[in-house]
Amino acid sequence: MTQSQELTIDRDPGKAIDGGRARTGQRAARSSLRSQVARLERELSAIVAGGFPYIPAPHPAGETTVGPRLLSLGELERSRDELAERVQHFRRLALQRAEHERAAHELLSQMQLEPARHRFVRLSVNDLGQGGCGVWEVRPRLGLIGMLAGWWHVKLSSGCPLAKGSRSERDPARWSPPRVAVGLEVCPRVPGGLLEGALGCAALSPVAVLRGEHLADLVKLEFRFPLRGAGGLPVEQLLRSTAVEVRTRDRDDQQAQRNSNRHHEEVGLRHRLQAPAGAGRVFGRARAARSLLGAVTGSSSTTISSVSS
Amino acid sequence: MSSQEAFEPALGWCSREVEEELPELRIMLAEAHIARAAAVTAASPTEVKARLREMSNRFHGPRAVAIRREPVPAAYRVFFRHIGLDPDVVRTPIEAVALERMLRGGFLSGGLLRDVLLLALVDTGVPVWALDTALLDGPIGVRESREGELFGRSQTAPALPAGRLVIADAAAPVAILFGRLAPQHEASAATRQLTLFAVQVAGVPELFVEEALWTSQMALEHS
Repeated sequence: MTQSQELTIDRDPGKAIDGGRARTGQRAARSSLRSQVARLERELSAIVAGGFPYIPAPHPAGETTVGPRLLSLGELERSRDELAERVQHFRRLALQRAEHERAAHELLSQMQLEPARHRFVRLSVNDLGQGGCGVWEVRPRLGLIGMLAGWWHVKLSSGCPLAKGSRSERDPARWSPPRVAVGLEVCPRVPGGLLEGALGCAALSPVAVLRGEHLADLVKLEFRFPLRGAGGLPVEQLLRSTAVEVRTRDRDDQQAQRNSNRHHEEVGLRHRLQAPAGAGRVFGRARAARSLLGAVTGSSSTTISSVSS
Repeated sequence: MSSQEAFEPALGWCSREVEEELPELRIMLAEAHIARAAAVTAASPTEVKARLREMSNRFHGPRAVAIRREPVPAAYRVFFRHIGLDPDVVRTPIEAVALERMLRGGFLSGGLLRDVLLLALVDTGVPVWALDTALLDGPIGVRESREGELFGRSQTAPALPAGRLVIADAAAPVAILFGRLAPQHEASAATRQLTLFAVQVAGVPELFVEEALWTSQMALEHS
């Protein structure tokens, strides 16, 4: 055996061992990279599935499909890096989404604490990270009354519209009126149609309740009660003032009755006692009864005298 | 002994390179003899169609969204990454089926063989493929394709690039791993015996693979 042959023989096993070690090392590195890829893939899936539908599923643009193959160390590294970048991007999206939902929850709390400071603010349940189509909204109680009186509250809308339209459109025979969430019900037998509490009448949606006719009623109510009540007398003077007012009213009534009888004489209807025009029906009946009583007892009255004459 | 206890799928072979790189990859095989007179690709019996309808009613959007987090589908997603496939571009079989269910509103029937494999996939999350046994040359296994190798035994078959992971018999590649089957080796109206195979990867319990193969075999042999 020559020197060169000995060297060759001596060197080959070393090379084989080095090559074997290198292959083993590379295989271990690839295995480690595969573990990292697996961890990143699971994290990405968790973010996407947990954030649906607010975090969109990844759609890698311009990716070419090569086909299944055994990846080299370099390919695995590139794959790992791309995946890590994607996971980083989705982590950012998830953080932004979490911040958005936290801010929405905070706003809802503020709306509930101080509704008057958040008038007509609308907050979708999607912003809160909840499913469905509901919307939280600061609305006035009793429509215009609440707006004028400063009665504000937070309401949650009823949710998603029906896929096939409203029930009335689907099957008119089985129609039943929708209910109003605030407990107000609309009854066609009552002027204005609005009753408080459940009285068994049909209820309409808030939009239907706040239509023109009803709003006109509300405006009348608003001007009739609170505005006049605000300038009333103190309680201790109430009786005295009431007494004065009663006397005045009696005088007015007597005058009105005289006018009425004069009118009746003119039109030839003296035999009939009537309430003056513009007075309430009950008030008119009471006045007529009083006049009749006066006639029976013989008390002097312009009305009676005019009738008897 | 019941038929379920007697069922034992065979193991397919793996080339040395594949085994060294992906030590947890397994090919499991089962044979199915078609008993009915009609073709295996013909319309499904009512029981199979009813099962598909029932499965459609049980498979809703929330599951379709969360399916990538389930253990078995997640394992296949990870394996796709390991073999150079992006599961967001090339969908895993169960995710492709889930998407189809959402788009079409149900699992639509497409012949007995397709329906049976679909049922097994949705039930277990493990994809099963079927090859015509009569056209195979020996047992099948996984290996890398060679330069200029044809995809199937036909002389007109397209050539495969080197290094693709394929399911092959002794003569030629008959399917691409997690891809399509060679057209000549797919089941046809004349097929009377099928070789069913499923791919087990890291994270998928053997029981699930056996269940998928057994379900398919039973449905094909008793329909």
